[in-house]
Amino acid sequence: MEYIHFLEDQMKIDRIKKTSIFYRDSTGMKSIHNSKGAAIEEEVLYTCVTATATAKSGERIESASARKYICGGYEHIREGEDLPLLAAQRALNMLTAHQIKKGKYTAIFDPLLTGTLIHEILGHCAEADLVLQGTSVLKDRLGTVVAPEDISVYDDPSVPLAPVTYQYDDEGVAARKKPIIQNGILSTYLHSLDTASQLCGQPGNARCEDYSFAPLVRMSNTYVSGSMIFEENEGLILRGTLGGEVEPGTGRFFIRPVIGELMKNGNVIKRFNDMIVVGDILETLQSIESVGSDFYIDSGTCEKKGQTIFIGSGGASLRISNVTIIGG
Amino acid sequence: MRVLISNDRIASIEEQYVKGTGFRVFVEGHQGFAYTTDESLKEAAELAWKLAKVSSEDRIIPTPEKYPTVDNLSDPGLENMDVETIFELASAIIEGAAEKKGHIFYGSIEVTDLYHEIVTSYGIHGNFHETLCCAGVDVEVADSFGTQTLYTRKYDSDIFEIGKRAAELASASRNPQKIHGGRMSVILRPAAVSKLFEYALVPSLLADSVDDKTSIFQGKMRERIASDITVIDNGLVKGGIGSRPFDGEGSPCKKTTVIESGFLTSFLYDTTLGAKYGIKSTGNAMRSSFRAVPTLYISNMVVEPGCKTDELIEGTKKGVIINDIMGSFSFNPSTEKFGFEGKNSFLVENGEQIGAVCDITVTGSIKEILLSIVPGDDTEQEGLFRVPSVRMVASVFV
Repeated sequence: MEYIHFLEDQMKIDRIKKTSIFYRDSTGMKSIHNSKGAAIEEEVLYTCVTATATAKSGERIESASARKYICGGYEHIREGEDLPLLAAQRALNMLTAHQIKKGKYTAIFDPLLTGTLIHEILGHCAEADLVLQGTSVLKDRLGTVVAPEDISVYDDPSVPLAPVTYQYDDEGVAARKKPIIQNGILSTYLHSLDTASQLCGQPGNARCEDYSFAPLVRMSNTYVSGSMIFEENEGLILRGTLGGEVEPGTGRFFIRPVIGELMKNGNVIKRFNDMIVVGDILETLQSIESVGSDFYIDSGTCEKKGQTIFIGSGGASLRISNVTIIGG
Repeated sequence: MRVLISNDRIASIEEQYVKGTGFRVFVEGHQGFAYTTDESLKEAAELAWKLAKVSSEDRIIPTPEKYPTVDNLSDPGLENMDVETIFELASAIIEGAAEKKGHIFYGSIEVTDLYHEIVTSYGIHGNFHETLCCAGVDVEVADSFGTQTLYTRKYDSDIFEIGKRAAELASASRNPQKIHGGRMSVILRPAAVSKLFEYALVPSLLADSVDDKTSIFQGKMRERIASDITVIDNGLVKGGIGSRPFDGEGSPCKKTTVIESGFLTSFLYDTTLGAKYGIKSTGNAMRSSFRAVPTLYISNMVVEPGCKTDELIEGTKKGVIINDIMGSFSFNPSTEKFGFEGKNSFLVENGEQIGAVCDITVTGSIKEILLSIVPGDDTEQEGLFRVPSVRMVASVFV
């Protein structure tokens, strides 16, 4: 309780009118046995912290959150002590944000928004059950170029202290890092034992909410990396994520950044809110110009077919051209 | 029991049996909570007590009251659903889609049979039984997609028809064209209305957002906030998906008019916030299961019907009809702005539906559209919403 109050106290700064901290930890044992010979006992340990701040200036009120989920104990989450300040600063920044004019922009997606693009928009299309259903825009594209050759996207459940860390998936298959896109080429779908047997793939991405559900093909930590590095100090930067949705069959997507910042010489000269980014996933991947030198895996949850699980997403910032942004 | 359909085949049938007890303990007005799914009841209660002693949030305990009778919360046809019956149901839905040349790439039918009981040390005691069927199918007809969902407490023909309806929608949505954007009439079908209102309207009608000062209707009680529409939170609708005799605190569920002929008439309260504002609980402390504490939410949100929906379309010179949307989560209460993508959308010109359109993004201010909104009469139950199609004016981007 002392730690939670300590976190909350960090948000008590000028113009922050309301604060909250959500803390949760859980421990347990996951046991998997099957007729293929798997006999696995794995300790499950989870800690989550979400800080929310509400800022007020005159009649205008804005709220923002920052969160961190890890497969690890409380002692590791102390790294999240900057979360409250991050939430408070985001809320304060939003007080000065205005509507953006609709248009096509070259924009930098920060790692959190990159995470939404990679997880929601690309990653679901790479889930083999959707491919088999015939509803993925990535169907029949294995081995083809889908992004610039310097771009790679991985799904990796072996990252320590990440939002998702496991040694074995929920079908008892050993975890390993998989390249969904490698050097611009669509290299693999994500599989369960069932989909792998149908499409000659590698299983290891079967996850379920808990013992009372059958495992489905799910992502773990999905992130992008590349070698065309830029230094981010100029241009329109889209920060944070309010989420996104995609129509897997067509590739049409809709995502919402928290805030946009127009930067010149390292200074913010204007801020924007209520932005909607729409587009086509394959066109957007091909429009990636360069990759940032930063790296961050954001924490989140994902719901699919009635099951909600934790996921990680992000990687490096991406500079993308021809991004359609609509002001609210 | 749940059946999953994939590529016109029954992919799996799953059955879950869950039983548990949640304990809410109050110590000097502070709440602690723990639950158990086995017989460790004493341990769970003690844990809840320990948590209450370190909690600082003040809660008011409701007083016992008589509960209303709510009809049609269960149907013998859905009770103790067996594998053979749900298999036949899924097969009929697949055949229905195939009749209209549709291919179900994903579908699910979930039937639940639940017993609820609440008991407190301060005299509250109630129980009820409910059955519920939630079904949804995603259908493809010649590279065009359509989705239908159904929420019902009755085992009847409506469930069998969803495959056919989804295929018809997919078929009608073929060969979509791009149109010119601009400010125009937008007719949202019930599924789209429910998703927009879930994010852009409901949160501002809950008393906790008023308490936080984040409600867009702050300080607007008894003022006009909408056109001549009436919106009611009704926990007593016969067979309503959100209907029940009592809420998660054990307060009786009620019928509360929140907007009457366009005027804001009430927010929705639980016992604690009701006491703070001198209002009796409206019975809106909702609880998803024994694993959760009650939180404020709607029961059934009912928008009363208006003119015939056909008249809404006939009276539209230029606009779009949108069957479903994505992105409604993006509503910003600070700016009151919403944005969403239309799915299965159609162009309307001079009162006639012309053809399918694609890549429609709609934005607007929820306050502005409420003041001009016109409801139709084709009411459907979409989750906790009982709503008709509505016509509004908004900005359409393509």
